Amino acid sequence: MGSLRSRLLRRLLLPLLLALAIDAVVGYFVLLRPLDEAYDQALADSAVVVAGHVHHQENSPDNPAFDLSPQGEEMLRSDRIDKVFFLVLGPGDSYIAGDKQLPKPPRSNSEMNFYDGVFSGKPVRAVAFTTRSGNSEVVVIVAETTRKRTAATWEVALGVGLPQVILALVVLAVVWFGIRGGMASLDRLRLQLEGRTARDMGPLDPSGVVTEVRPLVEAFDGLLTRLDAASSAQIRFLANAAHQLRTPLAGLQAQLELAIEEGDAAACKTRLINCREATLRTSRLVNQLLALSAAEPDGRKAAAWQEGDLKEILSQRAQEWVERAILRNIDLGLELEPAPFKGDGLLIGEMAANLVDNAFLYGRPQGQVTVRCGQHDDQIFLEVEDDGPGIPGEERRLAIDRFYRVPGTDGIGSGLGLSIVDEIARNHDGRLFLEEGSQGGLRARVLLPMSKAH
Amino acid sequence: MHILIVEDDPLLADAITQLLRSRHHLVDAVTRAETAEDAIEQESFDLMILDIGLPGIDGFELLRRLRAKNRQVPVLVLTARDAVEDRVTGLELGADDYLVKPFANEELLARLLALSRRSRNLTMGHKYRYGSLELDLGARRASLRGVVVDTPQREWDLLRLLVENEGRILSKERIVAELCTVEKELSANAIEVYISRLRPKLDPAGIHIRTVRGFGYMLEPWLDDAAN
Repeated sequence: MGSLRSRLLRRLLLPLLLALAIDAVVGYFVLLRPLDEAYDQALADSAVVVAGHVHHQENSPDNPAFDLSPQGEEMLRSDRIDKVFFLVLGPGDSYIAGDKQLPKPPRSNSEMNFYDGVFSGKPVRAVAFTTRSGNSEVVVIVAETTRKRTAATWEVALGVGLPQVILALVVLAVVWFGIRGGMASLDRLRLQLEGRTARDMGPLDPSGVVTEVRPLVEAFDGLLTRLDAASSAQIRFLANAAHQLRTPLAGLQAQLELAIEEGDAAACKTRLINCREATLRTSRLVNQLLALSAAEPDGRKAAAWQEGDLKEILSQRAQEWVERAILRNIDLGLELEPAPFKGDGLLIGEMAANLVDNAFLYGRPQGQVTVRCGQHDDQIFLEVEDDGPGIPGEERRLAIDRFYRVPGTDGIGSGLGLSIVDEIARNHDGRLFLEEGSQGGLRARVLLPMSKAH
Repeated sequence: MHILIVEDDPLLADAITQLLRSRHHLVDAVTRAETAEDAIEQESFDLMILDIGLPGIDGFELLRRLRAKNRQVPVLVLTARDAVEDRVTGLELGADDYLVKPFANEELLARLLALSRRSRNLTMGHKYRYGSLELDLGARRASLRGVVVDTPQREWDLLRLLVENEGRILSKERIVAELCTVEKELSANAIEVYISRLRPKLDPAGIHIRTVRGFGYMLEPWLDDAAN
């Protein structure tokens, strides 16, 4: 990108030079050319005057005579600034009068033939006036040095060009120093930011900031707000997680200490079985906490969203669930129809896993659990139904809250499962509904928007 | 069986080693992928249990190297990462099965047995075994304790598919896709019919085809010949 200043200057310089060039051309045509023409006209007038002194001679018709008096010649030659020369030529370029060495005109058919030349080492402007005296053709050449023309050119150049050059310099200077001024407000922003601690997520002070930079300040404030939300969510999560992990770990420690002191082998075994239970609970809790951290707002962004099919995701997980169902003697059924969605496949899978977990834990022992998915109007659904005791109507709303446990269930759950499901569903613009199942158990139903891509 | 364990957590490696030794397997345990690579060069193993998160070279990389060198030892991947992408990566790299930590001992044993039998069945080439069931692939004949069982072609194909995938659920869709031929279409309902015909033939030998309601079928891992 380079510096803003040099970029601006580079972009300004070329247009400025172009404008100056155009101005020079215009200046020439509008001012200098008429002036030049006026001088040429004066020169032509002189030629006509000189031609008036050429006379036809009766006795020698081919030899016109020239009768300019010395005073007349003096008057002709006198000019305030330039030197004036003349030459009169008769037929066949025969010399009649004047300065013999004056440059001859280039060939031309016009009566007044203007041209440039050099006489005694100096540039001259000349006109050749072709006229007739009796039968013979006479050419009168009048030339003058170019001092007043040169002076006029300079005057025009100065009068027109100088203001332009000054204007250009002023523009460049304004850019050069103006940017420094504009940058000063950014510098104040920098100082504000440098003076902040990591906890200070308040908006920036926009006073003294140029209008163009305001959107940047606002965008930055927005980012700070989001960061603040994400960071407090993480702090909350960490506190909750630590608190939740402490409970099963405390149980584990107590049981282990009892087992170590236990003399009776059978009693010791009971303690160890309790330890295994506590460990299972801890790992389940860790899995849930991981899922919850992924589902937190800003935990995983919509960038990970892809087209997916719930049927595929559930089929992939079926093996794992069936194995666990077999261990628990649960009759697990899967009724899967295509259910396209756009979202985070991993989280959607985690959501389903939590519902299946819940059904295994809280459903009827050796009961029936059925997982369904499919399309319903312009939505897709995920349904996990058990034939256990279910959740009474008044408890259902509370059951979704974090760390809430339905009264009467023993201490196996963390109270996180349904809140994870709810959070993931909401992340995907969906909803979790808890209903009474067809056999009196719980039917957890998630509705999500259907992907438009299918 | 001769089993190689590649696991860097000492508690877990010790527990798995004890578990497998108690089931009369020969076990070597190493903590690094580099050591595992050398061990496989020098000895032949029937199975490898591979942890993904290893210090130095990770499990995925070891798997990639082994398969690149055409080492066909069956691999059960252990992973703490409960992510579908990781499972897919592992299976694509040539893992034969995966298990997410933490797991129950019985689950690990069942997976290992199913895995070893699947690989043995596949390498033996001409015969599959499942309990007292034997499938002679050449003769396309099934027998229970040496007594030939009458299995028409469709039933034979289905039985072979189930034994080949011992311990894995087969969805009806997959069975249809595997058994369909150009000449004969097959419906999900037909599969149910074939299963219902196979069951009475296998039940007397204690072989049960489990129904996953609404989804498909599976043969659970056969556990009795555990020390085999």
